[in-house]
Amino acid sequence: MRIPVVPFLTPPTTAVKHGGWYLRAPDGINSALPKDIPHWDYQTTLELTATLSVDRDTVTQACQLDRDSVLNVVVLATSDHTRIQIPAARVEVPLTSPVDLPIEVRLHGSDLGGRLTLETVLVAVSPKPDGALSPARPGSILWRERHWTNLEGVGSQFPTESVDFKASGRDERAGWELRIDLSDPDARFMSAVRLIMNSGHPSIAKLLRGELGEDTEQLLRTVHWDVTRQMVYTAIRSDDVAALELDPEALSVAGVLRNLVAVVFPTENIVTLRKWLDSEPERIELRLQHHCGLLP
Amino acid sequence: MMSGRLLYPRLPRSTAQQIYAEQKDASLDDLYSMGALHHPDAAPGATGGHPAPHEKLLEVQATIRRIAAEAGYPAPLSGSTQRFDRPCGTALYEIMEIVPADAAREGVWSFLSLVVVPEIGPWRFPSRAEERLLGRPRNVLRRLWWRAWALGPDLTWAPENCEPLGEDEFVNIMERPSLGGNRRTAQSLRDALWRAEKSGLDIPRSELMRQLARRLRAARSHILLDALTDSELTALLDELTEESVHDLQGLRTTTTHQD
Repeated sequence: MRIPVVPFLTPPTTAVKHGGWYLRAPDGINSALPKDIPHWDYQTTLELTATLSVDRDTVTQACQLDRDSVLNVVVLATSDHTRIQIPAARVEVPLTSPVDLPIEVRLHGSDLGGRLTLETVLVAVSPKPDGALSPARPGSILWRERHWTNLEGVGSQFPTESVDFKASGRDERAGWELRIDLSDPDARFMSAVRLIMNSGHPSIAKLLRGELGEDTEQLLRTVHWDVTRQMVYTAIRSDDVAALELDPEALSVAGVLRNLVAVVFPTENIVTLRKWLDSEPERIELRLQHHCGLLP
Repeated sequence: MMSGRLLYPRLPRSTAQQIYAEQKDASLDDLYSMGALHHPDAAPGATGGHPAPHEKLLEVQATIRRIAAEAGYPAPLSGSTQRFDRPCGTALYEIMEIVPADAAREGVWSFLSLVVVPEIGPWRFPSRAEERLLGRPRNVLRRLWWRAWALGPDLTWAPENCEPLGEDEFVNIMERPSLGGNRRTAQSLRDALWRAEKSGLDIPRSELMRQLARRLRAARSHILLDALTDSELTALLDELTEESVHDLQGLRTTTTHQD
């Protein structure tokens, strides 16, 4: 690790203490920032909090600065994926000493990805030097500490987007729409299938914000059931899907649908399922409800 | 600034390398006719935005090709490569509406460079180096979008009596993430260069940029640029510019005397 050497006096490490970053969940509960945030995506806004303890007296004495020098705490957020650096927060250090400074950061996901580094920096923005070795320039860095977390998990995600149905001319009281394009059975599942959620509906908006609660959990189970159901019916009716052998590594839309049918109905073949569809569709429905855990 | 919302198809690296190998010896005419808006192995990211529609891909393809034609395509880009690079970067940034995080994905730029406009990379970089055609940071299109993000959107604009940035100057900013990843820093550096140019330079501007970028990076080790006011940042950059000019003039005098 490179440790920058600065051409002026700096405070002892005991003069500034970082309490660590906390991630604020939608329900308002804070948890220590984990090393990985697997469910993050570009539409996620990260809300982070931290407390920085600053002993102004020790800092200014050690740096030979007038006690009234203006000090700020600045947080820089950097993504190693986009290489974008964002000044994310700035707080003035009061004249009282010592002091616990609360810091809050909101980071929109569209500029981020990969490893997110949060660098907390104590800066003399208007230093009043008392000695030859005092930091004299505005912006002099007195102390800094870095923390990081990995955004995005390695697991696969279902292709999903959110749209306000009213604004896009769809039925505003509907919750979601699943599109499955089987016109090219070899196309990638990720490009041929899209779940579009109605962000304008209060219940869906709550779900998209990740708010917890019994009603949200039931809605999530219902969406899961309905999406699985639509995909299974599409698969059973498709000759392109029926013609395929099982391939656990498949990435095509037809291949993924074929695998889904095999997971939900491990002992039945598609010929049997087509017969059920014609004469006993309730057998398919019951299995789908069971498989998806529709009820708690 | 544009706020991106679209996700573009991503071409897996293995497929991109295979296409690159297949296209290695193809003529520009053949590559042009291979241009397509779809590839069976390419898909947008699962979440985080809306997939770019077919019409948008068509618009991107047509725009890149129009700008290339205006820059003389298929004739070799002799002389200023900026005839293509500057307007293309500006146009990509303005029309793509891509989520910035998606614009940092290798697969997106591999898809655009090898599938949508496969003739553009080999025309702009006749050596057809892999780093220019695959979607890595120095990709023929990716680097232009990011230049417009940091320093644009209009890369063709410059104040009166000044020139827009040239290739070396762009590279000096953008290939140093500590400068190019921070819009305010990047634009302040460019503005300092223009101020110096306006006041009359007797040294090549690109040499000044190289010196200035080096000095600014050194200053960043102990000065937080984001903590400075605009006027403080301007003053710091003007001071570093003066030092750089002085050093370069001294170096030139020494070299002349040695000759």
